[in-house]
Amino acid sequence: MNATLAIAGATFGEAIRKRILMVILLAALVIILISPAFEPFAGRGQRTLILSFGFGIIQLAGTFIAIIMCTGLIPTEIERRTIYTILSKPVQRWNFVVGKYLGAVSTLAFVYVMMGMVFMIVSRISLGEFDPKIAQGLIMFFFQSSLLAAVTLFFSTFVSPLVNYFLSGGVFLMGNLMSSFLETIQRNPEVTPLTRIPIQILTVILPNFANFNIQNPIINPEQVLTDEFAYLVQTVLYAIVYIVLLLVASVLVFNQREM
Amino acid sequence: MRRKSSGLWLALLVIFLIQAGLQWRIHPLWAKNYAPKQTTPVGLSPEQLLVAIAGFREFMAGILWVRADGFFHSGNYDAVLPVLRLVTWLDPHNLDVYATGAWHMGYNFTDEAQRSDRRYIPLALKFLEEGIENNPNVWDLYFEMGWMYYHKIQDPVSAVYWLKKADEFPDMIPARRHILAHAQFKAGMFNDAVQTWGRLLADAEKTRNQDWESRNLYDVRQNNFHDTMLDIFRRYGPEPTTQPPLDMKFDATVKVVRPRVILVEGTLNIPTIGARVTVILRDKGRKLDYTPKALKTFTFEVDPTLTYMQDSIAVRETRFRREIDMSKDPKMYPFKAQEYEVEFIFDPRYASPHIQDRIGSDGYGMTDARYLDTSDPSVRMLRKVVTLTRDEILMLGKRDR
Repeated sequence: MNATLAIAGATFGEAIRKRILMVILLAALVIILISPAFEPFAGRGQRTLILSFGFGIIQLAGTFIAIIMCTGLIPTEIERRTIYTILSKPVQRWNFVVGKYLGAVSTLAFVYVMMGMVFMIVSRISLGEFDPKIAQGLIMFFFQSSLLAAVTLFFSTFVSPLVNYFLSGGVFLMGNLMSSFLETIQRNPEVTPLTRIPIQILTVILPNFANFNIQNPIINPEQVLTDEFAYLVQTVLYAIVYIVLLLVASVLVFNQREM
Repeated sequence: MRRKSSGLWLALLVIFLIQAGLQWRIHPLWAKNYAPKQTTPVGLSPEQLLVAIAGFREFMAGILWVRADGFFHSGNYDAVLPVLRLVTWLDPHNLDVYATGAWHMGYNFTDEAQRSDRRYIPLALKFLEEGIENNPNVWDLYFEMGWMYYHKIQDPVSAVYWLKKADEFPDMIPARRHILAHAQFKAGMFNDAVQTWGRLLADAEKTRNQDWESRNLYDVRQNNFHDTMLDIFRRYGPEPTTQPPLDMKFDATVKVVRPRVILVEGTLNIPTIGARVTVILRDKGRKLDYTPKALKTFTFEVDPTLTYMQDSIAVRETRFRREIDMSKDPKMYPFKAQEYEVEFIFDPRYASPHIQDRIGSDGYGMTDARYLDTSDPSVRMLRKVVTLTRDEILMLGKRDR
């Protein structure tokens, strides 16, 4: 366990020194700060603008950081041959994979805390009130990014970083849209089971990123939600289980690699 | 070195089944609470879709809504509807879009003479119904639905149903509550109208000295309450102004003067101004179903084969007359059916108050030897239907009916 944590610590330290990630974080912070200036472009009230724009920037930055950071986690170590030094010590391959992932998630947590604090301050100043549900939305986005990081890490065990960018990005897009497609199909009585069933299966197989997009009722607080607490708990549980699934799969693939 | 990993494969399978079970449980709740409530985003360009997926849904909706407003003000009405669909997909809680979209459909698709295309009204109702399903806990769209029935469709009974729902919300704009009482009065629910005014007056009394606005609200409600009581007493009391019934001597003719142009004229025995006769030309036997349930799912497409024209003609010195030109809007008036009905209606519920003083808002004080329609127990109307064939409307012909 110490080895895992040591790898996680080293990964975290390395990640926050990467300029590209810090540039994305800085850009996101600046955009959140100046978001009230975008009011003329939005058709609705200030609340919609501030919250929608803030959530959007945070989710976008979280997505980019998760993908950019995790595509290189394992291939870079192999390329630099540092992995041989690490694995020659009493470190199992699973320690390495899990440690790398925990380091990535710690970085994401750091990034989300930074962006979340600025977002809450801006929304408090602009809207004149603090809505605790904003924190709820941020936590769900954090789990979304953590799941995306696990997907990217899994792909990084067997594909090159360039392919991984597209692969992870594609899975993220699909994972965001599958539920909507399924819902549309289920509502349409003309859709045959031949079309519906494959979509249902895909929705269950692919990581479902749409589950974490809970910002709409936060932006429109008049909406009454059904079993909100149960939904949030199950969604967080889903993220954790899926992350474990991907880590196990990553370890399995990584174990098969000849090094 | 390859490692044996059958245990991990088994663990993988078990965890996969657990996540699948969780996703199976989450989806119905997601669909109920968070899902866009209608179509998939067909029509978004790739970059718009990316922006929407990236989390800027509501922001994107705001920008598109501004764009739709631009289309509207430049007269490009056809472009407005698809944008409305996108906006409600992106942000199903954007009330402005539902309210304004329904208004566009109900009022703004017009012919050369500014007669609105009534075929869009069921679509507007369906759009509002979808908005209500997505936003059941705000009063705005219930009110918009009620207003559509009250003002556009002129069906005060249906209006009362929706306005009552809006009235249940404590945060409803005070002045908008008045429409419920007006609709109840027009629907012939006189007791309900008096009770509503009484309740609204009592509410206003609690805050009447708070500020100018509150005093004004109190005055308006007090006047309305008194007027309603007085109207009922005067029209239906011991010596009613509505008796004996006035013979309306209603009649109407229609004449095809040029292809797709008809001249309608007639008589209505009301000497003062303020009465209007509604004239409807439609495919024979095809009345529009003004209920949200008339359409299974929402669509922007109207039946391109249906012809439905409705106009309202003022009565002056007991006569009415208008030439109705349907030749310039073939898309709106396709004339595909073989037979058409031209229906003339005088509905006293929407006549001016001074006319209602004589005949009652429910037609209690009017009679007619030929065209009195008493099929609706809440209102007596005048109704005459004339039939025309497609050949008669399209060809040059001289025909008086």
